Amino acid sequence: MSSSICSDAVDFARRTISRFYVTANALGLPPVERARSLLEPLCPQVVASLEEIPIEHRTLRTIFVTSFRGEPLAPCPGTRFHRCCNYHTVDLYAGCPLGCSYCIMQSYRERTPITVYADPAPAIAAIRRQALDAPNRILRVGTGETGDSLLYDPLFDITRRYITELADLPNVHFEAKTKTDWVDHLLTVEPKGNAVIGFSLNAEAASAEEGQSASPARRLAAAERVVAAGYRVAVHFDPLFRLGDLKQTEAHYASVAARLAESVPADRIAWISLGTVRYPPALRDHIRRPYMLDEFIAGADGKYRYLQRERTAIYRAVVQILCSVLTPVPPMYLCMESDAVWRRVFGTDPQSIPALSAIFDGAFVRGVERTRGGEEEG
Amino acid sequence: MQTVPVAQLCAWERGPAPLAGDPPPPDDLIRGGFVPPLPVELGTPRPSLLWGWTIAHRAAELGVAELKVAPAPAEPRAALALCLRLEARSGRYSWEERDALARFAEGRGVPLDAEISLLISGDAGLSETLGHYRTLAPERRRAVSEGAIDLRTAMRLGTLPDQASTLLCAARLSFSARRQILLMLAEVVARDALNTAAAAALTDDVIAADDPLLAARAARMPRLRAMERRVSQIEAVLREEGPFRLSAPPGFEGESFEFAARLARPRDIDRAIAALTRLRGEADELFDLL
Repeated sequence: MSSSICSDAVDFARRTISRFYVTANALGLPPVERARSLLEPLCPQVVASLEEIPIEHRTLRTIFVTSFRGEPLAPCPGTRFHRCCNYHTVDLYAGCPLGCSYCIMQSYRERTPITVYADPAPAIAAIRRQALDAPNRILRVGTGETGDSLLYDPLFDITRRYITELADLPNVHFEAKTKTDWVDHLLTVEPKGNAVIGFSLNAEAASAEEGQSASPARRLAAAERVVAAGYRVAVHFDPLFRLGDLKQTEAHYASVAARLAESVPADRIAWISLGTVRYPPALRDHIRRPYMLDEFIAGADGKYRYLQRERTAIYRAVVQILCSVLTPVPPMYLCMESDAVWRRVFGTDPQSIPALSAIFDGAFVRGVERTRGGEEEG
Repeated sequence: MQTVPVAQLCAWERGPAPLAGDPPPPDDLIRGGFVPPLPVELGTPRPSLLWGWTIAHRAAELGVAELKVAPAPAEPRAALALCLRLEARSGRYSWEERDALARFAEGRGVPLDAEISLLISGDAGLSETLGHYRTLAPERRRAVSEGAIDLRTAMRLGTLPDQASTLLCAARLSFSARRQILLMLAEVVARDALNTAAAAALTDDVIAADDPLLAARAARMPRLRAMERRVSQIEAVLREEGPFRLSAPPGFEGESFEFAARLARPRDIDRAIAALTRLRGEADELFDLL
């Protein structure tokens, strides 16, 4: 085996996985063989499809490995009537047992095992095709939409292939997004190209909402290691919580921003996304946490968010904090937010941005600079 | 199938109350014998009438001499399924009846599988929902059983004191309004850690309000309600100039307020300008609400 094995990750997998199913077409694939040896004595059972797994086994304690699914590359579904950041997703690990209280997957991945798409070739081919078809357009693509990109990656070691096989494409920014610190198997990967390791970050005070995720300190230490190894990182302050009043919220996020600035040089941050906590109506009964007692309002997309005025204030505060500690200011954007909030936070009309892919040509930085100078339209 | 004297049938053991065959069919049908054979268990010590004892009782009142009976299937699950089909009230049993039927089934070793569940509750999840029902505190179970609130709402009331929920269940409110108010008050009680007395006082205030739903919402969403009040106050100032309307976007999500004026004569334009001039003075505060 060429990569170092993170024993924490393997211990976690052994502790949390009690059944291992694999389809015949995935048997023999190197990731499956690697996971099989690391999970011993757990033996994979061969099934024809997901439907063959007994319904009582379709839980997050079961891992189901298959070759690949129908559509290997898709635009991020975004949300109705809100700005989308033109991100593309590929499914690699679907489902996650970390247990974040706000996780939207609780509403649509019940009775489904953790699914691993062990053959990355079709997705890599699709990304290459799209990137080569539009060589002047930045293609941001990541594996963190339906699960944590790195939670089981030390076990299967599939991310390495995405990184190396996309490294020659200058317009592809491949992102592996995680709430773990299990990055060590990727440190020696070469070539890295534009690969980005993305870390969700939150205030220490929000740790109770992030289940078994690594602490912010451990994630930042991992960010430091990947930067030292030559990667850029992405940072996702998502979801941002109201942690007391605005001043208290600011203080919580200022603390984590300061630690981010200490850990990672700003010019190694590929982008920062911001999103306040939100949930679809279907999750309302699932989440029994104190933050749900705050004031939320249904937006045009049906999802519940903090009052517009309050989330705008949070965004502006966090943007100001980040601008004050990071030089140069990395590109920042809001995830699934309305035009109104965009304008109030960045002073920029998103409609006037020629294409959202242009965010990485500096459009968002300009918006940030306006806010920084205290200028606000409207 | 055999015929049994009605007087004898009426003395037999009876199946559970929800399988009484209540209400019985019209008298003419009973007199004419146009009722299904009543399923019976002819075991010891006494035979029992599994389903339809109200039919037997009514037949006795009508002076009918005999009714047809048929031995129920020997297998308890099949016997119960037959009785439930004859009763034909799938999804219309009260919670107490569901509980009674489930206990009857459990007593006979019949699992609440999908088919039995469907015949009782109209869905396959009786076992789960009944589990939730049985874990409710007695006051909440009674409210669910009486139809004052639904099971899902009852399960979400958390630490709302019984006193508060009893007050609301007794208040003259629509089912939907009661449900929403209960949920909002339960959240206020949890958020503000209200004790029983404070929760009861809040409930009294809500019930006494002109619009209890609005009062509950104001307690649950005080900041949003304050924003709505502020817009109403500003609108009231505009109305001093004429019948003008000022509306915030729904939920204060958006970028603009709507100002509406009806212009019927030249003087109305002057009044609208005066209203807008007054509005200009409130503009900073107004737009800060978005």
